[in-house]
Amino acid sequence: MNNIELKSITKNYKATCALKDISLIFEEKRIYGLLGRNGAGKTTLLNLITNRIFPTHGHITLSDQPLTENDDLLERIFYMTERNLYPDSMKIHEVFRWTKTFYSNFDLTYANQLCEKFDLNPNKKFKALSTGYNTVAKLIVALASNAELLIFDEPILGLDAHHRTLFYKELLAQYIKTPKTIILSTHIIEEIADLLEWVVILGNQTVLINESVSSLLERAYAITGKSTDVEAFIQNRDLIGLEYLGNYCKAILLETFNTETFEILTHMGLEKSKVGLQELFIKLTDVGGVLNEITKVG
Amino acid sequence: MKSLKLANFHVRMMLPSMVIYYMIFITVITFLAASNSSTDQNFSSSGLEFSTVIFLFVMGLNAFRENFYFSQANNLSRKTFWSGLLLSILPIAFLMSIVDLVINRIYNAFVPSPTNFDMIYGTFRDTGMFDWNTMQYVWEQSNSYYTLFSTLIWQFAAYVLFFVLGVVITLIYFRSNNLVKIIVSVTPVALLVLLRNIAGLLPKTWILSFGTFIDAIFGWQTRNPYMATLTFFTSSFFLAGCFYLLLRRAEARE
Repeated sequence: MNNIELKSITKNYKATCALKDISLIFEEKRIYGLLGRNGAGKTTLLNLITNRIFPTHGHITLSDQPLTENDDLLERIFYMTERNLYPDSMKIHEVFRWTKTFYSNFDLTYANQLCEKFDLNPNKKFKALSTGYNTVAKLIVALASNAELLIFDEPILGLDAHHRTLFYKELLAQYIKTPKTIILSTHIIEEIADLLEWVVILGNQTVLINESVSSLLERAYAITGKSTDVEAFIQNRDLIGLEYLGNYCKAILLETFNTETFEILTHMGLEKSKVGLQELFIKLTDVGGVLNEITKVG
Repeated sequence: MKSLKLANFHVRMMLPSMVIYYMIFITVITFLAASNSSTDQNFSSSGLEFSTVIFLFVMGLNAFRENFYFSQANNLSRKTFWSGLLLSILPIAFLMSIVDLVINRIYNAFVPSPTNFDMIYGTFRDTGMFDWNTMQYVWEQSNSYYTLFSTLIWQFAAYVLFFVLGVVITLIYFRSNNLVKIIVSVTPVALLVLLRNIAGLLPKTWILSFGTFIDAIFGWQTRNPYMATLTFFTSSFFLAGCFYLLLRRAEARE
């Protein structure tokens, strides 16, 4: 199995703890969303997986083999970073050529096709590109790398709506053609929500949620109605957010409802609706609310 | 295998700078030779290839960061980066040693120009450049196979050493916090001042022994350039070890 396994990972930067005792498995051929607020440790986690930085404690394995300083395993991963790591004076077609030498499966024809689709001139140097096209260039290299595991850190930084849509479509088309593990780390949750199969939400140096998107959204409900009724309903339930609007309020709950619960809702005259991933994320990582653990109300 | 590919990348990245360096170098010495051939004054130059040492030292200083980030962009291990960068200097240093030797021999046909090797291990030490009594140039450059081969190897070893030294200095700065950076910057000056003052206080036998040691490792007295070559290579190996130790936990900061 080409799973990436993180075992009790802790990463400290001097006195600051970025990640604390994290254990995770990224299973093969799944599209993961790695979400978290600024400073939650997303980039740290991705840097650890790709051997850019070292954990203070713990181990990371790919296919049950230690990933650290292992060229054969590292070649199976392509990591597109927010920052440009290529020499500024290098032309895009040169980046393609050099990537081909290190990633033997790199598809040069596909890279050139993507250049046409994204309207990127491969004869341009990196330093001549705008922020958006800089991202486009790195995306093309990542997509054409044909690595078994693709990791994207802020893949849509500076991209216009057309390029973003094009990227999502290409990513999905490639995934359908050759299923692979994809990890997307971004703040634009709404746009990628439909792509994701699994979501990992980081917060407070640890993993808040590690669950399939469908099962997570299945047990997330927004309950609206008169404040007094809603407040009565949410007693002893897994509440993650509460908003008031005059005499009305909306509560976001994260729990599996049974038939009895639905009957109570109907009886109390409350309305229920589904919650989107972005709203759920906001509530889960709301510093003023219930972040560390989903507490019981009442 | 990946080390060789990375070495190939480094070499290709260094080649344009090398070409520019030689274009400037050749222009300058051609200008010097042309401007002095029209006058009756005696003109000579020496140790011009020392500029290559400085060039490679600066290249070493600049070789780390960009190449390290590039290797990280391609998910290469630090071991691969280490061996790739070290492998890349071998053809560069060898090529530059040959080019310097050729340039020197051509230039010497117009302007007497002993290399550093000629001055340390050749007859230059005995005769000097010019006999002021007869007003004649007395130094003649040896073009024996021994001299050519020894110069080539000696220069090659020195070039490798200074390149690796440059890389290690940059890596020390890369790994250090601000305080250590200041300490590293101040240390060479402090050592020089300290040694100057301590030399007078140390027993004379110590100073003499140190002198003999330096003499021996550079083959000065015996005129053995291979001792110096060995010293250069040993120092390069030592620095390569330091390079590895500093690199193995180096982190590409975002």
